[in-house]
Amino acid sequence: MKMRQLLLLLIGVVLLAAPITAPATDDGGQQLYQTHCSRCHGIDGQGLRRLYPVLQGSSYFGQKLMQLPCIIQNGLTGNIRLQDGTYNRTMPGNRILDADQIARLMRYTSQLATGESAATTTITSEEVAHLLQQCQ
Amino acid sequence: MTMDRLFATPIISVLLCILLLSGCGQNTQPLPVLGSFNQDFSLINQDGQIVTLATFNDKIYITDFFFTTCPTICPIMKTQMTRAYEAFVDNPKILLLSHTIDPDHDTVEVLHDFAQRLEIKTSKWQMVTGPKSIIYPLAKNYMLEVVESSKAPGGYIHSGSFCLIDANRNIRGYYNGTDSAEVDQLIKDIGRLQGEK
Ligand code: HEC
Repeated sequence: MKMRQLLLLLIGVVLLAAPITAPATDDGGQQLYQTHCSRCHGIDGQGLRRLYPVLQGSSYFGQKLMQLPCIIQNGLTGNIRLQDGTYNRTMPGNRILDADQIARLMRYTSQLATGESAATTTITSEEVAHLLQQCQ
Repeated sequence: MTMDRLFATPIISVLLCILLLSGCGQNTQPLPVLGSFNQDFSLINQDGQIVTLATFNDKIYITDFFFTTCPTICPIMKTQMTRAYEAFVDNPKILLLSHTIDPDHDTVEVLHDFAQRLEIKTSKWQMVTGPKSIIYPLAKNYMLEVVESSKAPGGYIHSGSFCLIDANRNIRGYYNGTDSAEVDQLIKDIGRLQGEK
C-alpha cells in the first residue's frame, strides 16, 4: 500500500511539473516557424531536396543574423551558393509578421545554427524593428 | 482458477476472430468509383516531350494542380508527392502527373529546373505545361478546383488534393496533399488497386 501511494505521488509530481517546464523554453517562436517557414524549409529546417534550402547551419543564424529580418520581410531571390549546391529561386517576402513576431521567430530559429555561431540570440523586438527600417 | 481460464479462452478467441474478420473485411472492400476521366489532351512535360492521355494507358496515376512559385500549400504538396514518388519509384505501373496552373511563368525550362531540383525521373513523374484553355478544363474533369484570383497569395486558388485514377480511367479517391496521414492512406490504397483484376 505504501509503495502504491508513493507511485501515485510520483506520477502526480511528473504530471504537474511537465506543463510548467515545457513552454518556458519557447515563447511562440516554434509555432511561428511552423506556420510561416516549415512548409518550404521543413519541420526541422531540413529543406526539400534542392528545391528549398536546408536551414540547419545557415549563415543567417550566425554571422548574417542581422540580415535575417529583412529577408524574412522582403524575401530572397537570385543566386546563392550553399553546401548542397547553388540556388537561383525566389523566397517570397512575408508581410504578415511584425517585428515582435520576427524577434520571437529568430530566438527560436537560432537553434538551427551550428558550429561556433551556435549561441542562441536574445534579439528583441526593438532591435528587429530597427533592422527592418534599414532594409534596402 | 482453472475453471476461470477454461471459460476465458473461448471468449477471447471469439473476440479475436471478430476483430480479425472485421479488419480483413475492411481491406477487401474495393475502393469506390467516384467518376471517370476520359478527356484527351496534349501538353508538354519538363523535358519538352508531348504528354497525352495515352501516356497513362493501363497505368494507375496520381494527379494534382500546382505552380512552382506558389507560396502557400504547394511546397507541402510537393513534399508529400515526393513521398508517393519514393514509394513507387520502382513500380512501372504507377505514374505521377502534376499540372502547372501558371503556364505563363512555368515554362518547360522552369519545370525542368524544378524537376531537377526535386531529383525526379520524368518517366515516373511528369510535370506538364500548356495553354490554360487546356489545363483548367482538365482540372474540372478531375473535379479539382482551380480559380485565378488576384486576392489569393500567388494569384490562384486551387485544390490541394491529389486525385487517384485507376488503370481503367476511373477516379478512385481524393487525398489532401498537405496531410501526411492522408498520403499514407493514398499509398495504401494504391496497393489495393493493384490487387484488382
Ligand atoms: C514559399 C517557400 C518558402 C517559405 C514559406 C520560406 N522560405 Fe526561406 N527560402 C525559400 C527559397 C526558395 C530560398 C532560396 C532563395 C534563393 O534561391 O535565392 C530560401 C532561402 C532562405 C534562407 C537563406 C538560406 C541560406 O543559407 O542562404 C533563409 C535563412 C530562409 N530562407 C529563411 C526562411 C524563414 C526564417 C522563413 C519563415 C519566416 C522562410 N524562409 C520561409 C523558400 C521559402
